[in-house]
Amino acid sequence: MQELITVEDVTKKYGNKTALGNANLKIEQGEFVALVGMSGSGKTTLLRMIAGLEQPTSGQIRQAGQVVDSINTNARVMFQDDRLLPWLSVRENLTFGEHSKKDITEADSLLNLVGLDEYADVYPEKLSGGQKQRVALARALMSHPKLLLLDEPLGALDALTRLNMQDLILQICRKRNFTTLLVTHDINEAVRMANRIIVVKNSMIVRQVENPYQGQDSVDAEAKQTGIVNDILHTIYEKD
Amino acid sequence: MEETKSKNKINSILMQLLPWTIPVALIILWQIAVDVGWITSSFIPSPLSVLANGVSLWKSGELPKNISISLYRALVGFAIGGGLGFILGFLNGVSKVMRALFDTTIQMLRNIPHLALIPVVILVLGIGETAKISLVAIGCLFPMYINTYHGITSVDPHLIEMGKSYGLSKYKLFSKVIFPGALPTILMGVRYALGVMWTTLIVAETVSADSGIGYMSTNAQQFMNMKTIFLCIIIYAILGKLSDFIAKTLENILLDWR
Repeated sequence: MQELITVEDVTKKYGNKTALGNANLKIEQGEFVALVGMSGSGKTTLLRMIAGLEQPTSGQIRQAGQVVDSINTNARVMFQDDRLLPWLSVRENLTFGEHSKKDITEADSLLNLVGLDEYADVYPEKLSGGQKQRVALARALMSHPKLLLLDEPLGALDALTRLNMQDLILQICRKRNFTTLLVTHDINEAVRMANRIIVVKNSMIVRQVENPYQGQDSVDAEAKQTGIVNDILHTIYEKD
Repeated sequence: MEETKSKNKINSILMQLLPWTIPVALIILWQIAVDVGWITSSFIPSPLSVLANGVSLWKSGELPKNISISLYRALVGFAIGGGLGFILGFLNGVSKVMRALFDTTIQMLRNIPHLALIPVVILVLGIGETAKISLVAIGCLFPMYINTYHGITSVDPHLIEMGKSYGLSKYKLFSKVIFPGALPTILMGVRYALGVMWTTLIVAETVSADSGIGYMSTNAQQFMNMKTIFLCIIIYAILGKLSDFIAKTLENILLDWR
């Protein structure tokens, strides 16, 4: 498979504090990779650097061979909070107020995909938390991004909505063959959704785990997933 | 179902009438107080006699002339001051360099009560239209500046970051994210500025004018013409309410998402 993202010896410091140290990572086209670790471990910093929202102190990030040294317009971020514009309707949040036929058709088709086509003309205020995140997901999918960056997008949702959203994201990513990077502190979520899990601990990438049971719901697969979860948890909590 | 609908309709009409009950009750009470002699009519004329005086001044053409002159001064002063306040607030809100250059100076000037400038304005600009319009403009400038500046600088930085990460151009980031986010605060500035516009105009026309509602009132004071003085006060109240109505309507149209 073709390599899409290359993180090469990337370090990010804020003053004297190292947020991420000497990170190396490769993500291939079509992969669903999860970054897991405790709060403050540096996983969101890495995602923000891949999105071009922050620049590495040293090292280099490349997407399809191009150095990411400013906002990465080939990637779309879905944030933990929905960040919908309350003054635009749901559809306009996807098109950013553009009224071209092409944009509207694409927005409507994505709203249909996330099951919110009947809410196209309402303001986000009228939606529940889960619905808002579905709109945010649809917005992230506009213009067919090469890379989808999910920064703990389900963290604020209740358990049931969270499971539904996990299924929806996984289904869309498979259907459209998106390359996806998910940041989460929920190991179960990571193991359910990703085919590869990267463990970040104390600002370092300490381990990568292949997950052949991605998105599988059988009793046997779930037991295997639980094994991977326990293994990752052990890595996170074991003393250095 | 029908009964609930008609009940809701009646409730809605009552709610629309409710704000007017106190002013109407006060006017009725005022009329009764004058009629039964609790108040001397030569001191405080009855509302009906004030109204009759208003009709007569309207027919003579004096009232429409003075109202239109006052409106002209108010609106031109508001447009100049409010416009300048908006432009300065916008520039200082979006540019750190402009903020560093202008904000301290504006904050110093803002703290000078603009009505204290009347003697200076009269000495420099005389008692013509320029002086009165300038005073209104100075009064309107600062509320518009403060609210525009504050509105723009307090837009949720997460929304701006989202806009940037989605590759919005600078123009689109401003027109779709920053300006709509700042609009509620800017409109609050419009409301404040409209209030300041009337108070400044009243003072400016009272101190130095040969036309306008303030002039009518000062002139009437010299002849102890209480009916005209009260008429002017009522006109100010109506114009103030009208400004408030316009500001509220603007908010309802532009902030319908709230």
